[in-house]
Amino acid sequence: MAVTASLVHQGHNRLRYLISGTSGTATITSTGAASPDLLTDTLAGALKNLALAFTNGFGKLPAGALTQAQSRGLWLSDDAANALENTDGFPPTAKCSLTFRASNLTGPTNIAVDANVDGGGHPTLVVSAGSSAGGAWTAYLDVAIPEAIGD
Amino acid sequence: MATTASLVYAGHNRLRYLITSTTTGADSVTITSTGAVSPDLKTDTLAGPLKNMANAFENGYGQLAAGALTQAKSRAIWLSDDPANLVTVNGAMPISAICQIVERDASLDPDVSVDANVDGGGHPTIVVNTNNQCTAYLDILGPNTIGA
Repeated sequence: MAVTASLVHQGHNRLRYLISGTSGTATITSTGAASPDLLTDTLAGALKNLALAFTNGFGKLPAGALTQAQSRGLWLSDDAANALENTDGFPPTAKCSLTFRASNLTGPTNIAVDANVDGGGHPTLVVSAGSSAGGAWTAYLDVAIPEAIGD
Repeated sequence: MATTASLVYAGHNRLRYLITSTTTGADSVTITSTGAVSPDLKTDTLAGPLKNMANAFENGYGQLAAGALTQAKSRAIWLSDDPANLVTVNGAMPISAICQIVERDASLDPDVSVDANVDGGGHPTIVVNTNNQCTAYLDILGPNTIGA
């Protein structure tokens, strides 16, 4: 069974997806496609601004195709190269975290989340799962702006 | 040979439990919400959003009426998992919690997981499952709230 992501909570400062599957990857796009898609799923606010980075730019990033490093800067708050920081400081960026709801109880299950871009330079979030010897599992992916006030 | 949950931090907007499993193989610990001794959500929460969630059985929550809950309603409140809009009021979801696990000693690959459910009387529960001996932290929090 492939890995899938289903939106279960939609707030202005956080999204929560239910991730289900065995092994493989689930990709959350940001092109305005059907959910799961960051542009489609985000409400007005900081997350929506991140999702619009391709269209509007973000921080000192100009509009246009992004790299994986820039996508990680936006969605994982991983901007070691200061690709986003502008003269006003570091704009609010997201972080992603995973928590198992039901893990595979007969063998090791390893899941991870990373940010990347698609072939056109639109940011993506990719949840990947290693081989799962015992069957299906579920987990939650939180995409959130830390320390933001209000849901 | 057991799995336990010990409250190690109680704030108005978050709780932290230390999960300890001495079991080789699958085991679980259940956090109740009946007002029993800790670990219990009614007992352990301080005044604020988490306390209101813990009182859902008595007072209702959002558009939920008071009374016995289902697992789907418990997940809506404690896991922010409400695709059916069971709790949403007028298009707005009242503040709901999330549960997150941080494994402290995962050397035996315990695959610690957390889910919400209800007991036989319809009181919400938080159930942590482990797959091996381990220690881990369970955080129950109201995201994007002000103050601890």
